[in-house]
Amino acid sequence: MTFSPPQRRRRLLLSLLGMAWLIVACVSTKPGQTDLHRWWSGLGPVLPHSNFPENCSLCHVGQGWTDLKSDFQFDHEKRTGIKLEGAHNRAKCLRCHNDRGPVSVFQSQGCKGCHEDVHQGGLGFDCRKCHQEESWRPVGQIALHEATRFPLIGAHVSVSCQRCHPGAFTGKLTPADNRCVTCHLRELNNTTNPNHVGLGWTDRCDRCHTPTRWENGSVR
Amino acid sequence: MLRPLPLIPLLCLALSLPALRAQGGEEMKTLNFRVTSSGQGKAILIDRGLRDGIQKGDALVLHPRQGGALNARISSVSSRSSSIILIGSQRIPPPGTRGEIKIPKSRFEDKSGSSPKEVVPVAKEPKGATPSAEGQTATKDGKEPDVPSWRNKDRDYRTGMPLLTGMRPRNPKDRETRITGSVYLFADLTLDQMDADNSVFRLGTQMTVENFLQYGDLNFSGEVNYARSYDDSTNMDLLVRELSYVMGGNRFDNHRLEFGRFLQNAIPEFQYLDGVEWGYRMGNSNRVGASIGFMPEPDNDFESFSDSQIAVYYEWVNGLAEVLSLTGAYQKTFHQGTADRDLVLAKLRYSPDDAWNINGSLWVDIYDSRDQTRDSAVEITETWLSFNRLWENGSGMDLTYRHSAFPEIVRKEFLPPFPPTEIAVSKYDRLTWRGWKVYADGSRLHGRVMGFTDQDGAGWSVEGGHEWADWFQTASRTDIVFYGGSGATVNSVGGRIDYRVPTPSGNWNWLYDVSFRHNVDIADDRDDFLQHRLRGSHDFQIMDSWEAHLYSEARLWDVEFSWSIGIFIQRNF
Repeated sequence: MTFSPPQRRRRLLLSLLGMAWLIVACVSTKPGQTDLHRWWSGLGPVLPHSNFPENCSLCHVGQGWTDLKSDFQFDHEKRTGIKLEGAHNRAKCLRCHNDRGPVSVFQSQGCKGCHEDVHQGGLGFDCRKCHQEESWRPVGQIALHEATRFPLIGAHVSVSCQRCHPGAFTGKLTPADNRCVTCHLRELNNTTNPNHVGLGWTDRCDRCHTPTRWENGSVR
Repeated sequence: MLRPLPLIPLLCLALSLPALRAQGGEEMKTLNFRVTSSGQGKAILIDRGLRDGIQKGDALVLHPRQGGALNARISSVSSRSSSIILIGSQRIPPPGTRGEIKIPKSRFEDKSGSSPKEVVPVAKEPKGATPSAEGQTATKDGKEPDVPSWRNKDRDYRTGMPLLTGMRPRNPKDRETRITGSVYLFADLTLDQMDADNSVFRLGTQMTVENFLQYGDLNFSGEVNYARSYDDSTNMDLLVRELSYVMGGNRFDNHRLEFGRFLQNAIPEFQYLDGVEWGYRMGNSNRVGASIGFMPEPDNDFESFSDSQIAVYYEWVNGLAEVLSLTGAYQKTFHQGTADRDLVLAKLRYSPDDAWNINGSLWVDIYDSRDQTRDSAVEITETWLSFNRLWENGSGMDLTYRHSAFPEIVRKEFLPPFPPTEIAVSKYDRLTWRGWKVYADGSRLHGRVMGFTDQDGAGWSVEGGHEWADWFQTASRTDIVFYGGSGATVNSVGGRIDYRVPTPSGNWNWLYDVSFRHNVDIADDRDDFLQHRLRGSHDFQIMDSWEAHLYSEARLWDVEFSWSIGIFIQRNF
């Protein structure tokens, strides 16, 4: 039996993945381990109350423990040493202290420890470059663009993000090409006087047009 | 002539000396308390009483969250709580307000000479009794009810352990169904002097129904969006980002299963999915999982069913604290049933302490003979590597490297306007350093240096600034920044001033930015111009659950201008 080069590569890849899987499975799994089903349950309640006042009615109302008083206040910084700001200060306790595990593990991972990366790994790890803690509304995008290949100038400052980054509404801000025609292809194809495509004027738009004006370019 | 007046204070001092000596000589114990009840016309109660050594007439100090201090005195005492009267103030401290009271240590001494008496837990709780806040309320005759002291019944409990050690939390399946989330509206009207309209409108919600149908959580995230462009084209879409059901993935269930439309939980780099993702957390915290389904295209309406994928991953962590994490993953995509992309992903996360944070990801595309534009069998198409260092005073720095290239794929992932010719050759490398130093007075020095190379050339940018605290007004922030750089088509130098002042419910922000721009390839008579930007915005909260952001911005470049007004409003529930 003979295999084509792509088939051989595919088989090699699958074999390597299979071997890697076996090695990882052997190294990381111990006999009986999967029967434990404990995960972090041994670490106690969702929200340890070790330092809390003894008077439960300071915070809790009703017959159960899930309802808190409407005027409940908790000085997170004083009690835990961790200052909460903005939306985090207004969030319900169980948004962070929940059944996933100790909050310190997730907190050590930064924003992504708790928040899913809606940018799908395409914008790096530091959310605070664009977001602040008041809300997820991004701020300072125009200033941030100064640190890219394409500082926003002229009319480009007024254009909404998704014109150049079509995935903006879904969080996928794929880098845009910085050639004029990449975004202005439709304008190029619609030109009639003169017909740019017919004349072969399909690149170097900046020989006649500037990024500062919508109006027609001037012939040099 | 005798002047008796100066003698009066001296006489008073002499008479009070014995009393002062007695008070000063006594050892005091500081006791912290909280206000448990207050209101207009109501008694102010605190959560300390006779058993804490408090007596009628004791002086105390309250520390409201808004600042300052209130003096008060104990007016009546019961065993676990006390009523207080404020001295010289009409301010009513809200429930939860903290305070402290000094109590002579002599009150705790055992007159009989035996050791201090400990609170002995009641041996047997009444049958069926549940610990609740109701048990703490006073009876009608004002006397404290005879409530047994709470004690931890866990056999493993030892003195010194947290009170609730060993208690099992309530399983999410046994909790009440409740809905949390937010609804938001964003509207931006942007016009220029030629009446070109670049307005955007978004109305959406994201919500989670916890314990929906007794098995897990229902998630929904979607919006209606509308956008106009300068060429008068419009676009309106209903975008459903997420409609999924999640089971497990918590301390009661090592398995996590999610199905519907969602962003992949373990590996978000593999994008949104119309399908199923399963994950399993092992006893040593390592995780393994897989996913299968269709991939919505990342456009405005998430059109789906053209592309599908299967993916597997394995994440290794070095223990429960997860200081170090290494992840390997593989994704195979298909476009209309035909094999398309082979993507191998490696991720690194290392957080040894609060100071250091190191993150990295490596995306490797594997090509075969069907991939015509690539010569090699593998290509690194995306790399992120970031070193972040923070200091205790809030100072920090980070160094980030990014490499980006476009893989050869059939799927419409790089949406128009990208022409295929550019996708084939475009690549981009960028190295950025950022640093900020926080001073004791609250001011902040910050800077950034960036360099890049791409398929056409190289460039750089620098930025440096200083942010002052309380410059014009108490609690205000004033940031003055200068920047410059050489981009792909334009060189710039400029500066901006950003002024922010807080209000009781939010803050005002003012920004002015001016820059000199030089277009590299444009004719000499039109290559230079000044660009101005002036922006004012107001963030504020309405009641507890609403937050709003209003803004207006004007821009002037060369001889043209544009302006925007906008609103972002969100309600959390």
